[in-house]
This record gives sequence, structure tokens and C-alpha cells, in this order.
Amino acid sequence: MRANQSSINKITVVLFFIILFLISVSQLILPDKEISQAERRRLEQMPKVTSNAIMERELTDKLEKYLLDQFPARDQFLKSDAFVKQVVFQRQDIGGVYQYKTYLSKVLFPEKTNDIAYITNKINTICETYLSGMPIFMTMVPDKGYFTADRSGKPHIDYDAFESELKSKLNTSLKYVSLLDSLHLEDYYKTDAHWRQEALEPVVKVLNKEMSNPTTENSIVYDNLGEFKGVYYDKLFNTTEPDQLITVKVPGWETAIVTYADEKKVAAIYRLDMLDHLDRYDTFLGGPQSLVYIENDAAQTDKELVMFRDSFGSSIAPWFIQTYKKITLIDLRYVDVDKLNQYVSFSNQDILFLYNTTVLNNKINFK
Amino acid sequence: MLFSSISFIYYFLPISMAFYLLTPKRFKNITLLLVSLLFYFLGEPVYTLLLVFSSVSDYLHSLYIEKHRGEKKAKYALISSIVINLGALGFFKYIDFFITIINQILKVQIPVLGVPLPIGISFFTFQTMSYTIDVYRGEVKAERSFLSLATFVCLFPQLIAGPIVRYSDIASELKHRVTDLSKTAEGVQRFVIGLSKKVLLANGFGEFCILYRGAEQPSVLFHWMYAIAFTMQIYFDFSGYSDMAIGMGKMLGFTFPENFNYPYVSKSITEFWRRWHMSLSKWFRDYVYIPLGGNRVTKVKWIRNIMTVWLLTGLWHGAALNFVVWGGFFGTLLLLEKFIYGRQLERLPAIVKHIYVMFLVTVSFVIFNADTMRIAMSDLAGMFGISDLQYGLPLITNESLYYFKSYGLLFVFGFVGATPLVKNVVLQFKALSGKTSKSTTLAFSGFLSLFMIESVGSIVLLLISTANLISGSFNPFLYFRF
Repeated sequence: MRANQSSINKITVVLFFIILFLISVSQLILPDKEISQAERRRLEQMPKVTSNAIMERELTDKLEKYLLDQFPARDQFLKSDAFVKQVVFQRQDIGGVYQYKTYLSKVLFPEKTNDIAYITNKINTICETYLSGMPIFMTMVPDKGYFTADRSGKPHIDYDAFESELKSKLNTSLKYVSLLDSLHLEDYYKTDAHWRQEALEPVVKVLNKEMSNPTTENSIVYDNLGEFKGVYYDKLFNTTEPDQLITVKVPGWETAIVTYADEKKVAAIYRLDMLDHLDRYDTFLGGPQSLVYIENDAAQTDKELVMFRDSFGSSIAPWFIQTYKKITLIDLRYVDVDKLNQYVSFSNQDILFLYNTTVLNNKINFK
Repeated sequence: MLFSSISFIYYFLPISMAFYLLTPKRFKNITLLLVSLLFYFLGEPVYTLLLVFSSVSDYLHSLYIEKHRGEKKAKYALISSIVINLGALGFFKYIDFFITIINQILKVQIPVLGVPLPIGISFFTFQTMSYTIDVYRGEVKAERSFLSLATFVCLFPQLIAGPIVRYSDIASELKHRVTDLSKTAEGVQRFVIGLSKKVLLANGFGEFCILYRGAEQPSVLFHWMYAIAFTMQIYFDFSGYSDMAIGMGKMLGFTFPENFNYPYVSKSITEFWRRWHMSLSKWFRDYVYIPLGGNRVTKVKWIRNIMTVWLLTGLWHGAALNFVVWGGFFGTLLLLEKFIYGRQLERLPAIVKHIYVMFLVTVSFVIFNADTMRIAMSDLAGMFGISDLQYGLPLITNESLYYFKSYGLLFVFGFVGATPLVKNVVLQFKALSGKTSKSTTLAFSGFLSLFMIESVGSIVLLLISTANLISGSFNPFLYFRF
């Protein structure tokens, strides 16, 4: 037994230190990565060693972040961690993300009534301050959990109650349009939180009808831009197939002039330059932007639309260029409500508030 | 620098161990001291001077005490050393607490100083104080070599969160210690077990506690789960840290005192404190309780001694009222066990005694973990269905039920891990595997079993813990704030 124990001791010590040295040496040798595709974020780079950074204790903090981010086989370690949490500890979700069939979804729960009250109050203030007498519409885009949570035994908000709560708190001048019956699980990406642009025709029809717009033409071309690994891709141990990023080419998409106020530039409605970015969903109107103006002289009407929106609005807005001569997209995360009239001249536009339940359930999304 | 950090595990530890092992025997303490100072400097660049000052001060004081043994000068030197140590502790840790109390009592507005707390000050001041007191008492000889004493004070494995190692514990090892393969292997295993306790269990419970604080639908179940989760978190956090410290001590050839002995299997609060943070309890016993007269005094003084020790124990954990209340709570329970119901408690079935201990310990940690007494009271009230001074908190909500399901297995692992069950099973298995057999096949299978348990087990736990750290999971050390 003693001989066995002695051999085991040797093996344990040697293995332990070999692993420590191998990992540290390979970390030093391997080139640093700029970004993590799996996590869709920039990775920490080697911090600068300065006396100030040392004395202020910044160096050790930054060094730790750098070492964590540049750890060899980081993606494999992340998968192993997800495996331990899912399989060994039987966690119901990883960072809120869970799988239902081939769809990855995130727990949205519970309903934050105070936040809803705050947000509806903000919307009412906008209506009263700027939009008096204008046709105003409000719609809520259910998150994927509407279709997956109940079926997979996850807690979820009561979507009908959520809508009722919204309607009861919103100004009566707003016309609420429910999309709950117009959407299906298949209308969402499997690996991302967003809806698929190419699946939105029924939703657009409902909205156009409510907003008294003419029926749109059906000469739509679908363009597959390739693989799309959404925000939930790689979050769980078991991998799912990536989605396909498909855009719709409605009449006027090529000639429409799109002005991106943040970037101070005019660019295409589909930003192919964003395909190399961490989030390929940014292809739709350039991702997070405070203000975007789309002008289409060939539109069916002379009407204008002002859309207060979150990222779901980026993919539905191109559908409306057939109808509206000008569309203004406003993201209230980046625009101060008190200064709205500095950016938009409100006259007699159609107004649409389009927000996802995740955004409506968290007041942090409204300035 | 946290022990459970990539920079420590994959860089500091192997590099310092390599330097240490490559250093000739007579220079090992120098290497150890330099490495320890670097370790502290990386976390507390400015306060490293305080650590050095503390070493120099106690080195000089103890030499002076020894030189003037039996004279009044020795006593004055001891008082001077204690004043310096407690002065530093008092200034850095308690000054703002006392200013706040004075402001409240006298209705004045003395500004708080906001001095950052040097990491580990509560531990290293207690260690150095115990050394000088032991020299004064003649229990240890004053260390002539400054290098040896400074190595003792600054020794990085136990410097910032214990166990509180006394000079007498490692005096001989500071001069002559053996670093053999068996001890190193034990050290490696102990370190990895500690790391896993910290990363896989304590951090998981910590995440749960954060979820509780952000809960939208409070319920009685959620309050209880939180209370139990924090009770588990603090145990695995602190005992995990102690395991890592003891493990690294072994790798360096030292034998540090044990700090935890499965406290949650205790059958009385008295037993609990014999098993929880043992190095601190012994410190207070030897340097406060016994000098005050211990139990060899009148009953009133005995009660005074117990309460003094426990209020100080509470205060040692933090400069806030809830820590004092926490200490007082345990002091009261110990008095009750000693004078009121201790004998009746002994006669109760074991399960009832366990429930008694765990209920009170859980309640105590709710007080311990609250930022204010108001929050503590609110958390405690929630456990009994009271919210906003009204009875009627729901028993279960969808939110609490979901987290119950999601974290249920972690709780099970926690309950099992807090008992000696796993240790006993592994020991039994090792004993069976290690039985000498004449059959080559059986001997090999025995070797293979040992290999799987010790070598593969350690490496798998190391890699799983690393994966958890990389995923950026919640990773503070609770005892760093003390």
C-alpha cells in the first residue's frame, strides 16, 4: 500500500504542477485574441504596467480580467462550466438561458409592475408633450418566452395581464395593437432573442391595417446573408445549429436614403459592413442607434412614421418603407425625452411605440 | 490577490513554488518572505509598509521583553506592543464606526475618515500580538532572527484570512522543515478541495443570495432558502479558504492548525464553537477569556467574561452593530447552555439537537450578513411570514419555487459536503483499495482506484473550478472584509 501511495503522491504532484505550468506557459505563448465570437464581446488586452496602476491596485484587477479573457481553450472551459451547471447541478437555466426543443430562450420573470408604471408614464409624457392630436399606436412584442416558458416549465410573466397592465396605464389617446396572436415561435431566431425579419409579413399586415395603411405589394425578395449565431448561441452546454440571417428586399430598399445620426452618415438600409461585427443582427439599420431617418420618395403614400423602438424595430422598419415616405426611428435609451423636439419636428406623423416585453419590464431601458 | 483567481493559481503559486523549491535550504525563508511581501504588495501596495512595520515592531518589542524578563520594563514593552497592534487595528478598522456612534450619541457631526481597511489586518495583528504575549509569558523564546519572525508574520498562505497561526505552532518549522512528496501531495489535494468548496459551492450559494436580494416576489420559502444559502456560503467560503491555506502550508513544509471541523454536525452551540473558526476561538480563550479569570471566578464575573469574549468576537468580524449583536447572540446562547438548559439539551434525541443548532446558527448568519440591523430584522421577519410588520407573506411564490428547483441540487451537495460523509466514504474506499493483495490484478485495481480518487479527482476538480472562474461567476471572499 505504501508503494502505491508513494507512486500516487508523485503522480498527483507532478500532474498538478504540469497542468499549472502548461496552462500558464501556453497562455504566454499563444497570441492574444481580440474578440470572443462565442460571447460576442471584446476581450481584455494586456494592461499597461505603470507605477500608478500598481499603486492604485488597478493592475492586479486588470491583469486578472486579462488572464481570464485570454485563458487557453477559454471557449471549451466555458462549455465545461455550462456542462457542470446543467448536468451535475441540474440548474434550470444558465444565466437565465434555457432550451426548448431547438430554441434557446431567456427567462423573463417576474413582472416588474413599478417599472411598467415608470415606462408607461414616460410614454404618456411624450404623448402629452409632443404628440397631441396625432395618431398614436402602441404594440408589445412578446419575447420568445411567450411560446417556450410554459411548455418547458419555466416561470414567466402573464403576457395577457402584462398587456392589460400596459393598456390600463397608457394614455387613452394611444391605440394598442396586440401582436400576441400574430406571432409564433417559428417567427423568432433559434439562437437569438429577436424575431426573424423574413417572418414578419403577418405582423406588418396587422399593423398596417390598424394604422389605416394601404395593403403592401408582395414583390419581396429574400436574401440570405449567411450564418447567424445569436446572443444565446454557445451559452449552454448542448450546441444548437446557427440560424440564417435573411433580409427582405421590399420595393424601394435600394433607393431609400438612410441617415444614421450617431454616425453622421448616409448608408444602406442593410449594413453589410456589420456582418463582420460581433452581433450580425446589427446588419438591420446598424444596431443600436439613437436616431435613424429613412427616406423613400417612391413610397405609396406621403405619410411619415415616427417609431419609438428597441432593437426589434430595426428589423421591422424596412417593411414600412413601401408605405411611408419618411420613417424616423428613435431609441429612448439614448435620447433624452426632454429634448425630443430638438431631433424631430412633430407635425402630423403616424406614431408607433414598438417595444419588446424584456424592454418594457425594465425601466433602465428608458432614459 | 484571491487564492481563487487565475493569476494566483496559474502564475503566483507555481512560480513562487518553483523559486522556493530551487532555493538552497538556508535561503528558503528569504525566498518565502520576499514572495509573501510580493503577494501582499500586489493586493495592498501602500499597506505593505504597515505589515513590515508590524513585523519590526513585534520583533523589537519581544527582544526587549526577553532582555528585561521579570522587570517592569517587560510589562511596559508588552503594553506598548499591544497598544501599537490594537491601535493600528482600531484606527483602520473601527475609527469610522466609533465616530458614527459618537455623532449619534452626542449629536455632533465629526466627519468619518473613510480609511480603506488593509486586507488581513485582523488576522496579522492577532498573530503578532499572540507572539509578543507568548514571549512575555515565557511560553516561547523571542526570535533572534528578524528573517524568521518576518517570515512568520508575512507567510502568504495564512496572511490575509487565517487560520490564525501562532508563532509556537510553526516555530520549529521556521527553522527546520521538511518538504517531502507525501506532504506536498497532501497539500495539493487539500488546496484543490478548498478551491472546489469555494468556487463550486460557496460561489453558487453566493449567487443565490444575490438573487434573493433582487427578488420581486418574496416568500417565506425564499427567506428560508436565503438564510440556509448564506449559512452554507460562509462555511464553504471560509473553510475552503482555510483548506487552501493549510494545503499551501503543507506544500511549503508547514503544518498550520485546523480551522474547521464540520461545525454543522454539532449538537450544541458550545460544540459548534469548538468546530467553527477554531483558531479564533482559541485565540480569544487564551488571550482574553483566561486572563479575565475564565470560569475560575464568581458566577457574575464568569458571565461577564463570556459576554466580553463574545461581544469582542462579534466586533472582530466587523465594525458594525449587527456583528456585535451576532457576537452577543452567541454569548447569550452559550450562557443559556451553561446555566439554564445545557443538561436537558444533552438528553434530547440527536436529530432535535441538530435542528436546534442549525436553526440558531442560520438565524445568526442572517444577522451577520445584513448590512444594517433593520435589514437583519426584515430578513428574519420574512422567515416567519412577516413583511412590513404584517403577517401574511406568501409561503411560496412562482419565483421562489423556480429557484428552489434550480438550486435544489446545490443545496443537497452543500448539506452532504458540510458533513464528514464524503471524507469517510473516500477514506473507506482508499482503505479498501490500499489493501495488500498477492493477486497482480487486484493490486493493480487498488492502484487504479487510488489513482482515480487522488490524482484524477484532484485534477478534475482543479479544471472544473477553473472553468467556473473563467465563466466569470461570482467570486468574492467573505472573510476578506474582516
